[in-house]
This record gives sequence, C-alpha cells and structure tokens, in this order.
Amino acid sequence: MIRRGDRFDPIDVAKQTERMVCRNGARKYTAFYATGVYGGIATGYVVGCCLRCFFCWTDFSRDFPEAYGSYYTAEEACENIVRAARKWRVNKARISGGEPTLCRKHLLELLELLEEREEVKLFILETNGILFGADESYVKDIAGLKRVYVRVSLKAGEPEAFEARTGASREFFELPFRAVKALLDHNVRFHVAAMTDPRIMPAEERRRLIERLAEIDEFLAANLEEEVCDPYEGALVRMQFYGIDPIEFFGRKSLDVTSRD
Amino acid sequence: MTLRHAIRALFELCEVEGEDLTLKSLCSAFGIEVPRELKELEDLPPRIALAIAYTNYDLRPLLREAAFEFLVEKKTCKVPLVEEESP
Repeated sequence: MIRRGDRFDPIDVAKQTERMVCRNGARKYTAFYATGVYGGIATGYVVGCCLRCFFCWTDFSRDFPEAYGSYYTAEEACENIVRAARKWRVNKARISGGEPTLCRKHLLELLELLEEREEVKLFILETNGILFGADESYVKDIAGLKRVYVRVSLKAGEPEAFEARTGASREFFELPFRAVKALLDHNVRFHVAAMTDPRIMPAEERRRLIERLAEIDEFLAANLEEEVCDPYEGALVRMQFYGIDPIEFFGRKSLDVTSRD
Repeated sequence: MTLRHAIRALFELCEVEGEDLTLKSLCSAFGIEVPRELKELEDLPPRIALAIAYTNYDLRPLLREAAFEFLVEKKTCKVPLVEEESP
C-alpha cells in the first residue's frame, strides 16, 4: 500500500485501509482488555491507520492491517468493551491501537450503543484528527453524544516536519488543526495532545505549535498534553525504517542494550 | 484561592500528571482543594476535567483567562492577545 519513501495522501490511505479493516459495518480488532492509563480504561484494540508516524508505539497491525485481527460488529465490540469494563471495574472506555475514525459507520454505531450502557461513563476517542479535519460533518455526527470525549494528537508544528514524521504529504498538515477548530465550534468535549518530545520536535517548532493552538483558542494551548516517545518495539523498528538509530535516540541504557566493547 | 488561581495551578499540575490520576487525587497530593465548580468532575483525569469544564459557557471566560496567564508565564510563547510592550 505504501512504499518506502512515498509521500502519501492520508485520506487515500484511509480509504484503502478501510477496504481491509471494515466490512458491512464491522471492524477488525485484535483484542479487548483494560489498562491503567486514564486511571483505568476498557480498551478495544483496532487495526489500521492513515498515518505512518515513526514514533508510533502500536504493534505491526498498523502497518499490515490485512494480516491482523478479526471482524467485530458494533454490537459485538460494545459487548466486549463493556465486559472488559465490568471485569476490571473501570467506567471509562476507548478504542486504541489504530485510528478509530476509520470505518465511520462502525464507530458511530458503537458510540450510539455505548450511550445506552451504564457501565461506560466516558468514551475517549483518541484520534490523529485527519478524517475529522477532512469532513466537518463527521465532527457534527459525534457532537451530540454525551459520553464521547475526544483527544486529538498532533504530530508536528509545521508542514515539513509533518511529512517527515508521518510519511503523509505536507499538504495535509492543516487537517488536524481543522479538526481542532471544528471540535471547538461544535462544543465537543476534547483536548489536544502533541508529540513535543524534544528528541523529535525542536523547541522552535514546539513554540510555533503552541502559538498556532493559542490562535485557535488559548485554553487549548494551555491544556495541551505533551507526549513523550517511549521505546516500544514498534517504535524501535519504525525508527530504523526511517533511518533513525534507536540506540542513539533512546540511549543504550534505556534500551538495556549490552555493549559489545 | 480564587477559581482563576486554582485553574491556573491545575494547568501547572497537569504538566506533572494530567491523564492518569484523578483530579481529586492530584489536588490532594498537592494540598489543593478541588474547586466547587469542578467538584462533579473530580473523579476524572485533571486535563479531561478542565476540558469538560470548558464546554460550560459560564465557566469559559474564566478558564480562558487562566489559560492566558499560564501561557504567558509558563509556555514561553507569544499568544495573540499579548500586546508588544513599547521599548
């Protein structure tokens, strides 16, 4: 689907990926579980994304969605998420791993179903904002849902950096910012996150990103969640693919690599 | 402590931990009382609680004011409302 060095159209990649991971309103998941983030959250792990960030922590189902996961209808996914929430006694839920806004029909059905379930008080939709930015009606669709909370994760503060980090063409850099604006305009509950790890984002770019957010709304900039890149297996391999030495990036000590010297 | 000051303090605390603790436990760890206006959100992670509070149009101006102060002091960036000081 994407060849090394290609600068791609993420909307097109989203459509191609959807052909692999969505089928008649069902979507491919690899697991349902609960984890400690957000103070405990039930999670459905989906496959497939429309970006190829080198620092991404997810497993290889992001890159090879055709090879991973099984199809679950919205009803089945809802039941599995609720079951995980009950089992681990948490009242928050999310879809993680891949990009949850792929397979719009599935996501909207799932969110509608979760609105009816007492077990889930808050559904955190973690997105890269590409599809919300490309189509405001998608934001409008979720705006009325009272349990939905969105976390938009920005990858860069300037077009060239967006292209270098995500593999997507720089002309799509604006889409996540458009998503942020649309979420604000529709009074959706959300905050913005950004990969501002200084090993990835230079200080000047970080400053511009924060200013850009402040131009949209000062509150969003002040409430920005600044992400740090962690040495997950997927990230280590992807870095090598992008020509970055993970040992140099993270340091030998943090990777627990024994020196041969 | 006024609500604006409390919100300003919460922005700072969120820099330490904004997602994985609850607002209640974070405030308690730093000896701050959860503002009355955020009480019903105290079981949520603080950044999420603040974002949800921001959808309340009555609280919005105050939150924006606190955000502005925080940005100027801590994020070391020039936000649009800052006017250049004359030399």
